Amino acid sequence: MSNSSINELGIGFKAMSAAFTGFNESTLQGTGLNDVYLQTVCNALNQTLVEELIALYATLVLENPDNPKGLKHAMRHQIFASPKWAPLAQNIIQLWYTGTWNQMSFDWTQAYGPFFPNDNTAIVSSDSYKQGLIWKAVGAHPMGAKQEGFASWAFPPPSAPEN
Amino acid sequence: MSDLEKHKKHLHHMLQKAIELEHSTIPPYLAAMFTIDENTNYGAYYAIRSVVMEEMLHMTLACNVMNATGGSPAIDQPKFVPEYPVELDFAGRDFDVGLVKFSKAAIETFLKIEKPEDLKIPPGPDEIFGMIPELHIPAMTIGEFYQMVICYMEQICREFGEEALFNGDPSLQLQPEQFYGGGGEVTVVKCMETAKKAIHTITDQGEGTSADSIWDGDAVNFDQEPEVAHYFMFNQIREERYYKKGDTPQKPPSGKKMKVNWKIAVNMIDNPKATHFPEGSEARQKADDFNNMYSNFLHLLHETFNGSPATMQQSVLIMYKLKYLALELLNIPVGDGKVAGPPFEFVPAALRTPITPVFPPKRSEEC
Repeated sequence: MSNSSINELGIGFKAMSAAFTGFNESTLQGTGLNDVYLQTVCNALNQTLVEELIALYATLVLENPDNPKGLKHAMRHQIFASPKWAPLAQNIIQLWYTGTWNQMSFDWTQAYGPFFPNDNTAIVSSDSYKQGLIWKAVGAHPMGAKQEGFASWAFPPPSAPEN
Repeated sequence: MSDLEKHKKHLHHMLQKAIELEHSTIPPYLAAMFTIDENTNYGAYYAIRSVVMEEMLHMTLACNVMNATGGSPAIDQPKFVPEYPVELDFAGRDFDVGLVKFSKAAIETFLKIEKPEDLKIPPGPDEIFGMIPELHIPAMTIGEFYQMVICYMEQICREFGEEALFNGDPSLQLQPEQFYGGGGEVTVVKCMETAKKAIHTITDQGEGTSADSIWDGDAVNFDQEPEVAHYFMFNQIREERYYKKGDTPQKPPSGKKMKVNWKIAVNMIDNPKATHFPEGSEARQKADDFNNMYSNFLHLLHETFNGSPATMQQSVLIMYKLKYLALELLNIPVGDGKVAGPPFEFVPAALRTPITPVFPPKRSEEC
């Protein structure tokens, strides 16, 4: 994939990921992993599938201008209830939260592949472990990285994630 | 106002300047350190890191001296934070200090900041940022400035007695166990002798124990592993070589080679400011978050040195948070192949958002 197409696709991927994960785009960008994750999904499956999903998300955004509630509803029905898109969208959410790409199910692969030779469960990188959104979501830090200082455990975690 | 009060007012003015000066070096050092790409330039990273940690100790020690003499450090106020780039205006020499990425130029500037009193080494090229605010220090070097502080304190002692000078509330002193990390140790200041010990820790770590030594005195003063003083720590990076036993200030280091790759650094824009980034942009959002966190942090530090030393623990936790926020900023492109960076700007208390968790935590009385 050329750099420019990754860049353009990256913008869409980030916006979509923000809607999926509940973290804003600046936080996703701050992990430094947006393009890495996009590449991960494209490598594991193929770019066409990713482009289709981003295009679908973009359509839903256009159909619901200034209507976050409507967008949420549309996403629920057209992405998260779709046998084709729900497993992929869920996988992208897990990718952001845990830094791990999970192999798609056998049935899904049969239906939409039918064959993805690079689709293996793997932690993307040591950085993806550290940057997992799960740590922010639970107000903790990745074990062995991003230390919080002596006796930080004496303080209750923040009651809600930052955004 | 009595003569004693007048002298003390002047002394506190000097100490306030010292505290501001110690603090003002930290953001530039951190900018260079954070822009070292992960997994590269280890030697440089740890050299800068060790200096930064000791600058924090120095600020703490200066605050202890201030409190011991009945003054109060003013930390949560706009004037405390320099607007980078800032001109450090020493007697007879001045130079610009900015928040710039790890580079040869940045290290040259750091060498100027830490220059020992007696070192006769031609200065490197200046970084010029144009018309900028300045921080005035009425001495040739930081060490000389502290020497002036000691002399002045001794003069007050001679004239009015040691007890009149050191009449500060002892409960305001930050204790050694409340500070961790880095070389040296917190000295509780209660008399001229302990004040001198605190200040000598600063100058020994910064410039070396004497004109013919590159070592920082931690071995003699605190029974710790000896390190080279700050100037020489940075010189190791410039010369890409470590010092070894027997090396002297006048000669370049002759120890093991330090691997330095000047070409690899995160391409941070010079002197980032929140307002450089468009309203609503990713960079702006994170820069505002950073400034908010930083200003809340200054407030905690102010509390730490104005009656609540135990608050230091919470301040340290925020330092870690600031680091991770800074690293997030360095992942946000802002055009021209450059990325955003931590601005270290002051946000007035009225405009701040409180940070979570809320400090101090509630503990039940029975525990």
